[in-house]
Amino acid sequence: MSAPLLSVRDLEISFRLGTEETAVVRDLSFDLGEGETLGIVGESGCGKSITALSLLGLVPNPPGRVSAGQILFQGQDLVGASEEQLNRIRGNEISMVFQEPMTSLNPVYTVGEQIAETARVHFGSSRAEAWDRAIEMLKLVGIPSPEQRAHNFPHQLSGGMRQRVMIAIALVCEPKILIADEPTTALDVTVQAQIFDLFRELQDKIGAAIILITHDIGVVAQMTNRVMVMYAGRKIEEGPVSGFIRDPRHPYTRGLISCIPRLSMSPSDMPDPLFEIPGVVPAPRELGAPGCAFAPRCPHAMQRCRVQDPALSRIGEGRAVACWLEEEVAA
Amino acid sequence: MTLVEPSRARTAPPPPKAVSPGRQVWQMFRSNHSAMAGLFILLAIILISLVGPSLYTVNPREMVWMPLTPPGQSEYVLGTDYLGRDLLAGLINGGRVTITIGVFAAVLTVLIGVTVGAMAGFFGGRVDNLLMRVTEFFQVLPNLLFAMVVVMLFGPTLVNISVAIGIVSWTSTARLTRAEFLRIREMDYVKAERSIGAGNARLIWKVILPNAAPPLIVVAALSIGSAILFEAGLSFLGLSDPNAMSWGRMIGDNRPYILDSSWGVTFPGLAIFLTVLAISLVGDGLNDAINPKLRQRQ
Repeated sequence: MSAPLLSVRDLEISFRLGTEETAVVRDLSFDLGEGETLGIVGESGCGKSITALSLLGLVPNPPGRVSAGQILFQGQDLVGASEEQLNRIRGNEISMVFQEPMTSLNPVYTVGEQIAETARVHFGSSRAEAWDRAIEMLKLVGIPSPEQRAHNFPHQLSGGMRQRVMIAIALVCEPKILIADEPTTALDVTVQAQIFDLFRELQDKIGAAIILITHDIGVVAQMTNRVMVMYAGRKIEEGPVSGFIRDPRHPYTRGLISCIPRLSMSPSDMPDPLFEIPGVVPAPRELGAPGCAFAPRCPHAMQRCRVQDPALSRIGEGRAVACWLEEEVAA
Repeated sequence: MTLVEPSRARTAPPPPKAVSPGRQVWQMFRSNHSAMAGLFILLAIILISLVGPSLYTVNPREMVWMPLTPPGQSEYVLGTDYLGRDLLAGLINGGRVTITIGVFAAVLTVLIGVTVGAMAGFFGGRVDNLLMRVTEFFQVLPNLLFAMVVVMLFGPTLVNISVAIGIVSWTSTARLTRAEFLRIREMDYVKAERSIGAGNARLIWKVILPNAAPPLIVVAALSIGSAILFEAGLSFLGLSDPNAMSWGRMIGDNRPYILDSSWGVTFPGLAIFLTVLAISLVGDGLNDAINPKLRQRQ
């Protein structure tokens, strides 16, 4: 097997809170192959977005920093890379689409200019070439009458169209990796479906690997090949998407999946109220306490869970889970 | 899930016509009567200063009539000063110098102020701390005294006077720029630009500065007015370029005779007043036109 496109090894990201430094992401390792789609799932505050930012060297510093580990992109470690090296990679090899299309475009330039500028920065193409490229990209992301739209300012576009523009900017240099951080959270459900169709279509055309960050299990099931579940800054379960949906192993994953209401449920079977995982994600200050971070909210928590942190253990065909229950079952 | 082919989702409505922000501002500005009046006065003054000297060819430095002749009693309609020089010729020629100094000092004010403020606001931390202490140092210096010292040390030439005015008046621009940068650098689109590989220089000058521009444009316009007043103040105290006729210098020259011949100081004073008023009106109009929150005010 060839080396993966992106390989994250024992990543640790720390934030300084007052005088002490707390690791908000710990022991995180994962690989991403060419053209693969990886889903990262978890509640708000479990370290998904900061992990994504770290891949581009954009962890806000201070107060944050990557305190340990490696991020190997095509063999190059991005953790120690200079700003200059990173700027060559950002937008060119690795791109990112953000959550908020309404505020992620610069209000003083037309959308055409913003797409063209990215092409100019990375390819050094002429103004006219870059402009043509911008219109081509607008067409590619399905914006009607792109020649006219290119002259529009962001405030003249709808949320869905702005997200399409963001995607056009992210893809103009045909990156190898596209990171989408909850790209549809701010959009209507119908527009959401269109955007995901667009992602799939573009992935076929450009062949980029996608890291999709979301808390929507439905989206994960539709879009991704492989899933990684994060909780409190750690990877707690990982595996191919089919096995993950059919047979979730970690109680947290099971909880996440039970939270989805199903249309097939008859109203009488529908739990009332809808299922939820009790409690909240621990605050960063509470991290680092002994025991499994999920134990306080876990319906199966045992004595052992409160004193010892379970390590990630393989459970066959590319799956891994960090839970003591697995050992109980095996024993 | 509905699978709608995005490119032919529906027959798209014709996209709205692209109205550039500049055009919008001009439309707002045009509907503001006092601002337009200011603009016309200002353009008239500039026009007179540019072409006036070649149309009205009396030499402003030459003795042409009896000293201290009141207005309307000779062919020199605004009268003469204490050396018998034509006041009208002085006004027409002095406008050039006054406006040039005003604009040059304002440009300098904006250049220094924006650069310092942008660096402080963008980099924050130690850079911010250092630059703000420097700014405070300049803020606590008495402006007029400091400018006088500079002019006296280096000699009263047009360039030195402009530089002196620029050096003492950039601080508020720096503070404003810093505040805008602090606000804008946290915006999502700045983060987005970073994520596509924009370096610091690009972020400062091409991403943040254009977004911070509206209040800065207003301040720049208004600082021309204050620079003109400052120049008048220095000239009044005798610190003007002896080789250049300016309105402030006319006032300064005629000051000792103010009780006998008020016209010697009145006319240049009026010229300064009109110019600064026009600039203020234009600046206020720009402020209203640029700041959408104030748009409903009229």
